Amino acid sequence: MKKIIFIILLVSVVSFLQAQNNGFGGKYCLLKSNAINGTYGFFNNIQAEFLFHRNYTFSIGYDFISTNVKQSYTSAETVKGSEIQMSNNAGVAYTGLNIEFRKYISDMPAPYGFYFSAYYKNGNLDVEKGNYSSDLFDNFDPINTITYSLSGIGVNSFGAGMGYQKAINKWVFIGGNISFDYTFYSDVIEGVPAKSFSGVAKNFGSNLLPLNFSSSRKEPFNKSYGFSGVVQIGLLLF
Amino acid sequence: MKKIFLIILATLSVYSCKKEQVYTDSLNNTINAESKKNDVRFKIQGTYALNCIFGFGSSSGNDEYGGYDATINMSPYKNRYIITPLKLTNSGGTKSNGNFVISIDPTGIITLENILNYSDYVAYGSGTMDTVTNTIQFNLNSDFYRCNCTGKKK
Repeated sequence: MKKIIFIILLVSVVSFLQAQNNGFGGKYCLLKSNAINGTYGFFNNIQAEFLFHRNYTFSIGYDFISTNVKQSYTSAETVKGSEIQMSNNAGVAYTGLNIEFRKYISDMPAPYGFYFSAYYKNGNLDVEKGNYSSDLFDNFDPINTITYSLSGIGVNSFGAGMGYQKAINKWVFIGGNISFDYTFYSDVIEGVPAKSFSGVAKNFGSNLLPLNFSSSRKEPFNKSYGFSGVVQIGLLLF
Repeated sequence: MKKIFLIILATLSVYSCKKEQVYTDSLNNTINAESKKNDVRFKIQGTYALNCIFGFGSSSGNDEYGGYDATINMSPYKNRYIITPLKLTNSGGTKSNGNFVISIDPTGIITLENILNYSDYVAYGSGTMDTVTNTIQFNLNSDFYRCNCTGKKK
């Protein structure tokens, strides 16, 4: 299924490349990166934005994020019925593709001006170094901190937002975007792997403000919501 | 330039189509999504309602007290599992609050390895775990008491 989606995307990109719509400066391809990717670091993605109408663009890109994520467990998840927030963050690595659609609202041709956007991301997440307290799952003493790693978690993320992008000069663009995200994960190995990953799951996916709407949920979390923000720098190519 | 874009995208697309889940931890547990299908050890965590038949008071343990209900939490600890708490009370009022450490092999065969937090009695036993019906059964023996417990995951 993934391959079919990617083939469709590739065909779409080819179509855009053949389009005759000229955008800002007579160009129609902006190569850019997230100079500030919220709390996830700097310059950890690359994205190409293609114009296919004077006010509409389609982007495809690749994320390669290595960052630290908070680990928290709700009172409903713990045997003792108390919330647990680990003092150490989990080290995670994410790689994946992203696509984005933008509608610009400006007198200037895209990709210049205020815009609304919607995106989809698909990738893999590895928890390279996570940890949880042994009393998360039982009442047995002594309480130990258990470290774990969990690789190969499928991640899907949808989001919608808005932003502003402008040209600094003939070639260089700068912009900012804020969005609301919904992220869900592939089925994690049930039992301890799913329970331990739950602490990361509810906090990953939104790089500014992860939200948790399900404090009474007993099952391991497999989705998250929140707000993300990025500052982008781009180069107008052709 | 356009061809370079397409080559890069195709490469990234293939790279993004990975990969099997693998979990490892500092308790020496390692599991991947494929082995999980045949390994019951990671499926037993949870709360079980037990009904136990106990025998107390002599090495033969012939005095039986039935119908005792207990709740156990099965959770991993150093590559083993803890049954806790399991409270035993005999007719004379002697109490045992035991945390029992068991090991389970990939097919569901249980071996009781020790008894913790209770006097000097060393317990031993065996049992089975069925993840299809989510039931557990085990026998517990020592020179002071014995019990036969069956339970189902809540």
